[in-house]
Amino acid sequence: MAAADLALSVDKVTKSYGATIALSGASLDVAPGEMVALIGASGSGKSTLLRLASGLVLADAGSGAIRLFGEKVQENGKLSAKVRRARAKVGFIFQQFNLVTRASLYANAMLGSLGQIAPWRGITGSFPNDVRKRAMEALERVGVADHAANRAANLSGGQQQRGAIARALVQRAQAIFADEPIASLDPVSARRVMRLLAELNEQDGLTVVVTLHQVDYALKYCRRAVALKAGKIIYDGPISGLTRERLIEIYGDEYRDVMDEEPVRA
Amino acid sequence: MTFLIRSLAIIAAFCLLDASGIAWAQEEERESIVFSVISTEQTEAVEALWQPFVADMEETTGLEVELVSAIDYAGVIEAMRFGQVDVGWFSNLSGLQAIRLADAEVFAKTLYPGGQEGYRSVILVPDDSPIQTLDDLLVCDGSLSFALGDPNSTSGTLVPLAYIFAPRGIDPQTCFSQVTNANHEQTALAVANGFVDAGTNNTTNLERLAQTRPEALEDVRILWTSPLIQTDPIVWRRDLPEDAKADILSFFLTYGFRGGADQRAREQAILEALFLGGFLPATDEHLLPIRRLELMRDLAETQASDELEDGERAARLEQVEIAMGELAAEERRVAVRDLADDLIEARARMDAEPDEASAQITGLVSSFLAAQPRIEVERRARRVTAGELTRGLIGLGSGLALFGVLMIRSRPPRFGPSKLMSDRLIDAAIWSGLFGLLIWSFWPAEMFKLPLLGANAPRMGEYIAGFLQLDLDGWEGYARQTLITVQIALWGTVVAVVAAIPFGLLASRNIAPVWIVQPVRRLMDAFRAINELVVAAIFVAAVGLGPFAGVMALALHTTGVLAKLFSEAVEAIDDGPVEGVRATGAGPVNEVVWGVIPQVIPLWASYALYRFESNTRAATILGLIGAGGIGQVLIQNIRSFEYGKTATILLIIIAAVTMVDLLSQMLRKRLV
Repeated sequence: MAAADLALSVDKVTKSYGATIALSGASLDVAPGEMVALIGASGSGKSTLLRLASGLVLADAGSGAIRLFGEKVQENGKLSAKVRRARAKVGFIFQQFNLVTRASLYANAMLGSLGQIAPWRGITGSFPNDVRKRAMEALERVGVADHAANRAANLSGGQQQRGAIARALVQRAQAIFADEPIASLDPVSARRVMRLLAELNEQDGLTVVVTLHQVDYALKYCRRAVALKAGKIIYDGPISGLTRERLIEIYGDEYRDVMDEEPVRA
Repeated sequence: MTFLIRSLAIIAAFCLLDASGIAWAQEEERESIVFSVISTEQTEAVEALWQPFVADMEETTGLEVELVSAIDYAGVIEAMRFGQVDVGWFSNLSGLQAIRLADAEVFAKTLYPGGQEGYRSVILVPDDSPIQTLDDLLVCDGSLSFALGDPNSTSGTLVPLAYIFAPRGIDPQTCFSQVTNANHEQTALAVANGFVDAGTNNTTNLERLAQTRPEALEDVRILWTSPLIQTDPIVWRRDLPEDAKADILSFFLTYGFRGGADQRAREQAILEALFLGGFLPATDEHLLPIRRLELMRDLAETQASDELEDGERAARLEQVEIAMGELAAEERRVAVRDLADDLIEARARMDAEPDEASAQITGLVSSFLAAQPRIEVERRARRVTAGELTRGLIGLGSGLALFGVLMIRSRPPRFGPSKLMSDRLIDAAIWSGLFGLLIWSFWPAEMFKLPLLGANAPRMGEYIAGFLQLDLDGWEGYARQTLITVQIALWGTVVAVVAAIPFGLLASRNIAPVWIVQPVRRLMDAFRAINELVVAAIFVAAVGLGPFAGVMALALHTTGVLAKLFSEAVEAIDDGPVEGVRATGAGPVNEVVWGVIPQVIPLWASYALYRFESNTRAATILGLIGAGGIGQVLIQNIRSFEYGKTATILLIIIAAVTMVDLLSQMLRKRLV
């Protein structure tokens, strides 16, 4: 598949923080409509890879290009001039939700339109009517319309995370990148958020790339797995390929004990 | 958010309206003139006293006359320089500065109620002081303290410097243990209470004091009296229209001596209330004696200064001597003209009384010759300043001693974790450095006087007791003035908040690049560092005396403070929401509006409200430069020893600040 047709293409990208190498020569292609789990131990570079893909972090000089739906995000450690057009195509979900906590959930959902409307409309808060309509529809869809007028700060983690997904819907994103979306949530909220992501993938054809540290969620909701270890991609294939031996290879020898104690429930 | 934006738009619209209003007002100027009087050492009623005089001036000249009173000469001179004041009553020294700086000229001089053409400087000592002669005072062993007047005061500073200190080559700063500057009343009171060993004053002020506080006069004795100093000049701007000048001059010269007996009596009463006995015509020559005094002071200061290189000192001395020469030539012209008049008059009597006339002629000529000035330039050895160095060494030594103690104390313990060597060094350096600075600053800050607080507590009690007799007369007026002060503070704060938002963002390292952050921060440092009074004086040049100059001064200073606090708040934000907004493809301005500002609004609001409270207090200080409000009234009352009224004013200010505090607490709860 040519780079222009891919939802995400990452070409030999390296990222280091001082002497620590977070990602080393990683390449990754994701086709539209895929649901991909990025897994690996803490510090393996999976979050870095996702943040690089949205241009929230700059790669080291000498790295190749990163493109979203054919639009260049960055290359050789420099942001592309069109990075904002690229970002507008992808909704980003954060572990800590990253909503504007003092604004209402409704206003937060409308912020999804900032990449598409004239800057002055955003600055003055005069969002067009169709954005307002889409925002209510999106909140309805993710099931938090009742809390539309509440400040984000006053809501639970699960409600905030669903608000963040509503923001991505208002954005009319073609893909959702979710960086540990359920790591701060209770099991019920976590399940609800993962089901929502899977539903958007199946029904709306959105590409979903999600970093997870709970392997069982990856096994349950994703079809493709990409595993990182110490900044290198060591597995990229169907989720069914995550055998006991491979997981031990990914997470280290001590994972053997984890699996023996607590069988994976698929 | 939209509310904030709309408010800004409304404020911007107001500013535009205001600017067009100014342009419109300027078209109908020149029909009116601004007459300034100095209200130093007068009561707060100074404007009320002048009002009937000004009303008569309006009626006689047909001009619209606006009366302004200011406490500080410098502000009026600036205002005159920029066309904000047209006619002014000055002191001799400030009049000289007005002529130099503001293109003004002397057209009349005041007379005292008795018709005297001047006053004398005096030096006061406590009645029971052992000081009996000038020589007793000028022992210069650093054992005595001395109170000079305001640096711009003729009788309080210039005359004593020129007639006592300069001719003897003495610098008061080195001669006395302490030299303070204060106005005449404060000085008189300080001498009477024995707080200083001697202080300057003048005969006019002593007469006034005899009426207002006769008991203070009993405790002082006059040690020395100066030659006659001319009365105050009345000055106008040279570029006033000639017909206006003619009307004004004829009004001043005839006032109190025109019309029928009733009118004369009425006008005389008005003059008397102003401690005036009428006006006589004068020219810039009126100021020749003052120019001489000023040059003698320059001479003395140049000789006494120990900051000058020898070469530069010689160059300055030469300049002073050249100016002295020019002045002497002018004085000589005036003296020759007077001599000629006198000689003609004397010779006219030759036929009638030849002996007396010839004796008079001889006397006139010899006294003319004797009066021609001679300048004696004495050179003085430079003063050695060892004190500063010794103190520095003591400070350094105590700092090093503490450094040693701290290093020993922070040795690695036998049990438990040890600290890094670099951490130990830095901690010890910080604490010992602070300690050394404190020791070094001990003498300059006069902290050794701390025990006096306990020893002289009864004196403070006496002073405070004066405040306990509340004088509630006119409290409505004070409340009105306090309201003006709060209004000045309100606008000053709002203008500052509007300016501090962009400056604060540009001074934040996580928003702007370093090559913007650093210059903006230094600019804000400058805004903060410059005293409001100085800033206000600058604005007086553009907008004249009055509250608006105060608003601008507060606004500039507060912008510096708020921009710093705002940027610190911005630097402490959580990056999450900013990334959340950025990830939607939003532009940089929207990142700030949605990612940054909602996070900092509570803190910003809190800072702005706090500054509003402190500006309410700061606005009172601006009364010093005639910025209106309660401050002007407060300072006038303190200067005229109206303790009861001062206490009333202070209570009203406290009430106002409390109300502002309660209001801002409510707003803060709502905003945070």
